[in-house]
Amino acid sequence: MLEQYNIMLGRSHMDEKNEMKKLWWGIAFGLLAIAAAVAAWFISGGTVDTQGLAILVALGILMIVLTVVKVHAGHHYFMGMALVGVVMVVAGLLGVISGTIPDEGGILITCGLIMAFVGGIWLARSEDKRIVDERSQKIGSYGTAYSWYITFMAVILFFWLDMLDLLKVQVSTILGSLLFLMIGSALFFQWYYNRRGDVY
Amino acid sequence: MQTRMKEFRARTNMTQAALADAVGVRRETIVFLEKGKYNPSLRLAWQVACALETSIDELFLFGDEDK
Repeated sequence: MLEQYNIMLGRSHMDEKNEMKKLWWGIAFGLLAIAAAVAAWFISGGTVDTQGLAILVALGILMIVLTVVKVHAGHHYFMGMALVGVVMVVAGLLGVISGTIPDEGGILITCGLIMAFVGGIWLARSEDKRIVDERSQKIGSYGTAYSWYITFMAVILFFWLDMLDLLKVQVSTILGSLLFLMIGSALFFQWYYNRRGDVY
Repeated sequence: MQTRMKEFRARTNMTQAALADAVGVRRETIVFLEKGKYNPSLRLAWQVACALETSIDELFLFGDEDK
């Protein structure tokens, strides 16, 4: 009976269309990053910072690979992400302890923790919560938008506090506060609207 | 906004989970829809109406305050 409804509602067709849209956007952004790196190389006549270009090309390739894997692998994508995160944390720890990558180890551990955290949260969700529907997308978008406003206010506040010499803090402290404020407020708004049912 | 979703769901003998599965949303979205706390898109309203074998205007009731 459910299959009959799906055919009647044309849901599978719409889902497929949305997935393809996501896939093409991901590939387009990845190719754009690679094209920008190649263009910068030719325009500068080969004098531009090659490390920066290599990072841009790597990010472009990563974007394409992640988009393709996400669209096609679904649930396994997050499992893979969590596993890669754990491997990165272990590799980072080993690198720091052995002294082979004392500085880069920290970056590896941080990135690994973020990946393991994001993947782990998704895997810990119930089957129902893993479904992305119009309500969850709406609440997600509004939560992120309100978080942006709050962060914008905080940036203005920090700016004037600094201009008027009322507060003297390090740049890293401000950036850290903004990072936590942005993520924290987005999560709060999404939780709040999810409890209410809608964003109004 | 009020809905008659519960009534139509009982008529078609569908659970909230089955309805959610039929229209491709979370079960909690159906819960909030039934409580009248979530304002659905026209597409979702139509999908729910189709799944419950009825029409949108029979399913969702708007009062004067919704105008």
